[in-house]
Amino acid sequence: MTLVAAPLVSVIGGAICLMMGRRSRWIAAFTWAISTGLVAYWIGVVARLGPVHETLGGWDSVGISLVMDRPAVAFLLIEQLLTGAVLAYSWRSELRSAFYALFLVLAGAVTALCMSVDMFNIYVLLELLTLTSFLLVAYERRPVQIWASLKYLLLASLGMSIYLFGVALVYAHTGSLGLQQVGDHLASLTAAEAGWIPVAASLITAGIAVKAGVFLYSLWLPAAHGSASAGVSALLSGLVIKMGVLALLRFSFILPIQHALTVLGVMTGLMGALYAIVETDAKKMLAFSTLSQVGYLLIGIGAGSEASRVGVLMYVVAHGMFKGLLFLAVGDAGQRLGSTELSVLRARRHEIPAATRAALLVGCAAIAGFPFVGGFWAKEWLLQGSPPLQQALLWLLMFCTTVVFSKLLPAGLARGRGGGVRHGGIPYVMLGAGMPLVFMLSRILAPGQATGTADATLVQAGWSLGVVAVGTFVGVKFRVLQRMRVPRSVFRIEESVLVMLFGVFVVLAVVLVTSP
Amino acid sequence: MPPIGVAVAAVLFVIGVGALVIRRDLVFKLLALGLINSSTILLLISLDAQRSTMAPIVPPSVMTDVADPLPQALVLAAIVISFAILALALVFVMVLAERYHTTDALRIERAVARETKP
Amino acid sequence: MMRRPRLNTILAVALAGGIAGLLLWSAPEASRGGAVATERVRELIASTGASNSVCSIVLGARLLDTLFEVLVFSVAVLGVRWMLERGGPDPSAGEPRTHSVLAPVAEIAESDVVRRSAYLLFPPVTLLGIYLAVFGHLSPGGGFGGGAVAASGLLLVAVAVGAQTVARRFHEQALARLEWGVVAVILGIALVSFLLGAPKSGLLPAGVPGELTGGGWLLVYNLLIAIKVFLGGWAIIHLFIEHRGEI
Repeated sequence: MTLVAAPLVSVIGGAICLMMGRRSRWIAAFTWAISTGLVAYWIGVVARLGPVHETLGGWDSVGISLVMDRPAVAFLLIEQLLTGAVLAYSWRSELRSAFYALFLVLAGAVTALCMSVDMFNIYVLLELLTLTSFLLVAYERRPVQIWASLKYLLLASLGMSIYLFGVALVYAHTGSLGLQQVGDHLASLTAAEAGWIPVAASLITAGIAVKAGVFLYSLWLPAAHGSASAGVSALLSGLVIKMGVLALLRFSFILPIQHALTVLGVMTGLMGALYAIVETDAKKMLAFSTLSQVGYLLIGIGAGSEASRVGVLMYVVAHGMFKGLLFLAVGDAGQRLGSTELSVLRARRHEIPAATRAALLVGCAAIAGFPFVGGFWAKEWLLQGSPPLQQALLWLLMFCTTVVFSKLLPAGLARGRGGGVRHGGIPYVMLGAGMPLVFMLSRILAPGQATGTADATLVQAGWSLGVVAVGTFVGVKFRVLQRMRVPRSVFRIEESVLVMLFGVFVVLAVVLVTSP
Repeated sequence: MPPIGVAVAAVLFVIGVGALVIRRDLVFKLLALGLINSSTILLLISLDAQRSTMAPIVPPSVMTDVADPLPQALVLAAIVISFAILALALVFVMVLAERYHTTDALRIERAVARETKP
Repeated sequence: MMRRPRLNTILAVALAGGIAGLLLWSAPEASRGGAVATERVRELIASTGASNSVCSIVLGARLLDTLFEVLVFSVAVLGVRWMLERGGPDPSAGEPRTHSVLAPVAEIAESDVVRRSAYLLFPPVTLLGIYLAVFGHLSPGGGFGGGAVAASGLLLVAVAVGAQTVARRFHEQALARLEWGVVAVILGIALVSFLLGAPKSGLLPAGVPGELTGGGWLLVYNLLIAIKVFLGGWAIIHLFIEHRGEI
């Protein structure tokens, strides 16, 4: 059994969908089942035997390497969960076969990307992700979606070109494209020969950051997500963005970008929260919130310790689940009420189905870090593994997140049934029941390590409760915050390009300043 | 002193970025994007140009110094991807132009904003 | 309105110039990949039996990249088809349009010279495309180039006699399905050869470099990719022309 079977099965399923033209839902479901089986098989192998490396076809220095290690396991887990939930969510929507085909191709590309440790392979897969997301966002072919997708495409292409510059540089100096070989070679360089590394590192980081939702580069993100349909937004926010984060994680093992990632993470987190607070549409607010959660992840990667990395992986899974849950729930509510504006959701909350309201409550609590719910465990690991400065930043971000979600929370507080949900709540169960899963994940990811004593956990629970309470209070009372004026012109193409290019130098500066 | 191709690629990149920002016409921006992709491709294949420019397609008996085949393979993929993205972007620009009767990025941005504000 | 854009342009050019300068500064004089190139080429040719070592890399060592690249192409064609099909992009915008509002519909110029020379050139161009695809493992070329050349030959005829006339000979839906069918076959063959742990030349053994039968399975891949690129290229061309108006 080869590692590459899982992604190939998914994309073959997608091709068959378009070849047959009928019964696409069933082909998609069948393909999803097979790929889940394969992923489960590999997770079992890794749990028993440790990481698996494979160079495809037996080619050594020129071939493509794949790996199944802990990051791959975590990302694959959230991928299968989210794709399954979105499939269930869209089951009765009567979508065209092209949708299911794109969906499967996206799933295949994500699966391959989880396992890829080759620089150029990452490039091809990220471009495929760009294209399929592009088409999925513009699915209903409304002009606002098409415009957002076009901007996304332009900026992502520019970003990937810059990334390719960095890859070319690395290949010219090291003669190899595999991350493992490159890392070995970099470690053996003397200081005199290593002058080019910061340049290549900043080019590569800036290029991937476009896909990762890092605020400076991904100004397209809110426009694209907010106008896509709910299932697509769930996939984009919960999964596709994470692929950029994964790529940055893999590069952070061999390039000296930790501190740069921390800086980017802080900027992303704060700016994302800021724009989320002033946003009035629920889906756009969730999109901005995704940006700020990416900030969490980047700070965690930047902290560089074992525990913080485990925290990052756990948070990836947790956030994917809860952001997906929120998007689907908001989508349902929006369909029922005809609008996803927050004021409408709050005013007419009695009309929202009971299941959807429950999903909203669970999702809000989980993202805000309410004690013992989902994200809480991941944050515990993150905090444990970070130095004090990063810890303070993480708490600050958590506070901002709570303020953001205090706007959505009232929509879930109502009595009465409010009607049924078309998909029978299956996606809610799939995603919401992931809470114990996140806790168990820590056993797989860090066997034998405990998160500290029960006392420490209780202390953190107390702090979390306090922050949540204060944040909710501030968010509810200080409505004036929501009328802050923020610059909107940065969403135009020209400004985004400028910001992206400037970002290359920001990363370069941080790398130069913080390297020994 | 890097090969001349690298310098040309760098110049093309600067021109491409300038073109991307200088005009508001969407088709012009797509051409600029194509130029930027071309500069990336040129960089990839000219990195090794000083050592050898002989095509690596010789029978083993007459093998001398040949150019590095790996970047050439990468360039094949990059060209196809660049083509695919430009084709799709062009179609989107066409659709938008029909809808709003302009290819000006700023006017489309404003028109879209007007439509989405209820 | 003219001052803001100038500031943007100056900034953009300055930043891009900075990046370009950094690139020039850190580019090495000799690529390290090049140092081992000759050895690699020798090994590639020996293990796959194809004398075109670039083809060996594209369809052998880095087959996964190529597979996803084919998918990128196919998804792009899907997107073009989707956006330009007869229903029009925005069904609520009124009656579907098959011609762009930006230009008047042009009549096809009925020129005997153009028609005859197009018919004269079409077979050699198509033959050239087939040659590039079939001999892709022996000389520069390969599936992508061959398919593109063949599609441009068809474009030549379409320019001369009208895309509608050419399209009437094909069944569009069947072509779309065939295109994805070919993609499925390519992916399926690759999956099978990965699962079976096939030798480096694919499922067939490597032959003598320089012979047509050398290169094992690479020939099959090249042919399939050429068919797929031809179909996809023709789809894009046809849809553009039909939407925009005849050339």
